[in-house]
Amino acid sequence: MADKQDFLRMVRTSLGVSERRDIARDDATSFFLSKDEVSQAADDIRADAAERRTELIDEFIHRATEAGWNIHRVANFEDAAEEVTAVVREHGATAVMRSDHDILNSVPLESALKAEGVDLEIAVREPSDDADEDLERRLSLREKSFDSEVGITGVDFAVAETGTVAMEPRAGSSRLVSLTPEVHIGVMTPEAIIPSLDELFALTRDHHLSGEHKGMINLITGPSRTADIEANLIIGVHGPREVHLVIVG
Amino acid sequence: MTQSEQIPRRVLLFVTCTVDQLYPQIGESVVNVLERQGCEVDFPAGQTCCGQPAFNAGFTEDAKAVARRFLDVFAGEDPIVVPSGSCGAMVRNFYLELFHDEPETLAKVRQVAGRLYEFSEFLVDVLHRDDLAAKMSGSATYHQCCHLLRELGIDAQPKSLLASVEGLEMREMEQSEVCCGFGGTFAVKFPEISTAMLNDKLDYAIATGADTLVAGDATCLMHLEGGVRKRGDTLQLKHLAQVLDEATSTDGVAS
Amino acid sequence: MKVRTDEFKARSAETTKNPRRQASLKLVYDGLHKGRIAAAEDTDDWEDQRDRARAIKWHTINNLDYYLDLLDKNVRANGGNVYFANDDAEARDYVLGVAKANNVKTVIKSKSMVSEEIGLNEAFEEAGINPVETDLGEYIIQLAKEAPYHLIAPAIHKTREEISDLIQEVAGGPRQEDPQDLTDTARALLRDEFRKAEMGVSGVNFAVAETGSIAIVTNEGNGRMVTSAPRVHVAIVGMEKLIPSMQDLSTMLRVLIRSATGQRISSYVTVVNGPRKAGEEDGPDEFHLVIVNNGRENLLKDAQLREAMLCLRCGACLNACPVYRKAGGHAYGWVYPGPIGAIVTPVMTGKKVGRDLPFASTLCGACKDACPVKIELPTLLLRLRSDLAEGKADPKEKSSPLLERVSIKAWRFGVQSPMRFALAGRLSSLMMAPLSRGGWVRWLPPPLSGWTKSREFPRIAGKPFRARFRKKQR
Repeated sequence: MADKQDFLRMVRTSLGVSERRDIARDDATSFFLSKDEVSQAADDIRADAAERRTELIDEFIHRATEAGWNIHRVANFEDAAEEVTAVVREHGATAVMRSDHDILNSVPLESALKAEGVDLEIAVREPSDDADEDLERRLSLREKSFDSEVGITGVDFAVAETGTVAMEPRAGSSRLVSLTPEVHIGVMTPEAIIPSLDELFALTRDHHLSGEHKGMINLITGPSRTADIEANLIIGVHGPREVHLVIVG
Repeated sequence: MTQSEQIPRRVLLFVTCTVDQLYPQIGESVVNVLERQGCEVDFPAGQTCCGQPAFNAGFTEDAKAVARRFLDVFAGEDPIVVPSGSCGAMVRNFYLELFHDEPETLAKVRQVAGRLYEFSEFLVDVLHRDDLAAKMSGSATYHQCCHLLRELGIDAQPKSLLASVEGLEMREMEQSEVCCGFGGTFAVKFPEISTAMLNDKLDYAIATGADTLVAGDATCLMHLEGGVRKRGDTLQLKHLAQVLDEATSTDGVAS
Repeated sequence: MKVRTDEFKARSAETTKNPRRQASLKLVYDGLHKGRIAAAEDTDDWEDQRDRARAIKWHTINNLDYYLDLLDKNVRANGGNVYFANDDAEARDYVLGVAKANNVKTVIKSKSMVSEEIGLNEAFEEAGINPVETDLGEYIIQLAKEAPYHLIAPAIHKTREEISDLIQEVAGGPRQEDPQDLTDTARALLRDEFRKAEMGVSGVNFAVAETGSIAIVTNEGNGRMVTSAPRVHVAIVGMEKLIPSMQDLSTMLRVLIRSATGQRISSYVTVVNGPRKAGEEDGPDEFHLVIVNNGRENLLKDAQLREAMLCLRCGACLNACPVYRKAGGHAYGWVYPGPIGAIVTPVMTGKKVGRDLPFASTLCGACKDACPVKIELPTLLLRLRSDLAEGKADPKEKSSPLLERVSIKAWRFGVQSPMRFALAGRLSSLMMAPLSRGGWVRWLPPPLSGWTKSREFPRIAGKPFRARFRKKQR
């Protein structure tokens, strides 16, 4: 087994430096910004995005459409539920799952889908203090995610530059609901939109430095795709073939 | 000060070893074109080669010896004109690499390289002539030689010169910026790859239906023409200088 | 993986004669290369992004010990494990150990070139564990038992007919040739593996030192599956893949993805911050990061060759390279083909055995233009040529053939004097006379026959330019 210290010594020898040293500041990387600077920048980003909202919505919709998202703009949560139901109906789906993202608790999905005869499954387990039992419950949730035809999630950030949505999985927000079903529907408000990847990673970095980070950040831009067979573009490999974004407000 | 006063009259011709020994007619065309633009061309008789063959093959020490000689032969103040992107790149770019740890030689390199211009670059950027009132009938396609395009960044100059030739129809070929497969000893060490690249290049050129393939480097032309002859194609091969010589000559033929 | 760099000449020559492979390789230019150019043109500050990405990588590599230490600490702080592997065997043994400790029977893998380097699949198989490649291209070449042909399009050399045969063999059923049908079948086959696999193995595009995160770029979604569905996730990373800060990801992703596929961004970018946090609904309980040296120190040691450590493995230099597009990926004989492979492969595995690779380039410069971090690939190739020709790679034996060394000395002697140069020209012209017709030579003896097989050679002019010029002056 390679010892860490031996490995680092090998690297130092290769670089021609003898021992641990302070490194010189280099502004090419954002590494040298202090925690306070990052935090201040995050506040500025939020304020700036709020100010430029209309412009950012247009850019986001343009890029997201280009990337293959089906965009639905609706005025309120009731209409959002209607849009989601219409997609479910169109697919004749019966296995539908949603995450427990905050925004979805405002959307009257259960009743709208119930009217279609669809029981909406919520991707949440009852946590157990018993490790084996907890694992059991998680595995059962995983099975249900794989069996779902439509997955409905919230969105934590939306990036105008690329038409990307980003989600940070956490209690109530599963990783798989946006991945395993053939159809993914994200529900968001315009407040989620930020200008670019620069702001996205400034904000998630701020989370990190404040100790509020999650196990993962998922950036999703359009449907799953491949060009591995004779460079033909094929939509829908391991992830969803069809993706929708419902923008409320 | 008027423009004509800024324009240098005396130029040193670095003709390259390939043109000297294999394509002397290209050298003559360069002289004719420059003279018609009012230049007085001098040929430093001590010149031979810039050292690129050894450098490319990895023989750094041999390349250095030859490069040092080149720097001495071309010492002075007059601008140097070279009808080759590759030899131009050797002096302007690769000498810096070759002598990166010799500050004194490096100063000489910078002095010489700062005065060295590729043929089309000299006409357009120094003499400010991108239209030589040239006339010629026929059609041509232009191959962008690698070092000319990517090492020296010379792209618009030869194209604008060709576009200005009245009566010459320019047709763009597919993959005009892709290497012809020459690469010095590469062509001999890896003949199958080199030939496959050459055949693509010739096929694309012929597909345009143009009667002439124009390029800015004698070494590439040697490779292309060698292929055309072996394949029995009818495509004509010309250096840019030959096209401009022929198109500006009063009797309509390049000497 | 076995090193077969000494077969470059034979394998590349064979590929030039294979019309199927040549058709596949043209797709690389028409699709990926043109896509990259369009993406770059569509990005206003493209050059600034490249410069910044280069500066970030240089800073990291020059302080690699610092950032490796920081990465290690932060992965552990996130609840993950870190293992430093000096060579392929150490890396394999560690990953196998994790698999055995977790009683793993099936491993799902997303694309990792380092995993190819260390021969991980073979090791799994020997241990009775079933490794399943899940990137469609990697899956195809796993079925074909071949090495990747390209850094990001591993099965680009396979025609749909060949893929059809491979898929039918596993799936049974009627033969399919439509890429959509083939993809659907592969999706269904791999779904079962995603459901049952106990462990996922992934590569890493960027490892963020400051947050202990790894970023994985995919389009198919398999990278997400591998990092989310199984109980254990092992990520394998070459020690050069670090960046200092999470904020640096925006620049790095922009240049990487545009250069790789021409997209503004890929369908998925997955940033893993260690194992599942308490309360999360899904995700792995265990996360391991294996940091691999395996010969990279040879690059790091050399102030000039160190530049190759900036490489993001985007494949843009392959797509741009006319030699790669004729020779094909397998000719390069190891994991990394194309111009970057011609540099890192000989240095990582042994310069002498890979001695053809640095010479297999026309130095056309297309790779340098395409590189997102502006690696001076032609200069590095020239440097390796010099090491080989002048015996710096192995002082006991100069690698260039005797004839070449003698020729260079003779050339040097000749060009050191214009008189000798002119005389040599005169003599050569006379010697060539019997072989030439119409000023061109049709046949030359070996090794120059390599030229004359497909090309004539101009006879040296009886009267060189210098003589004509003198006459004109008079």
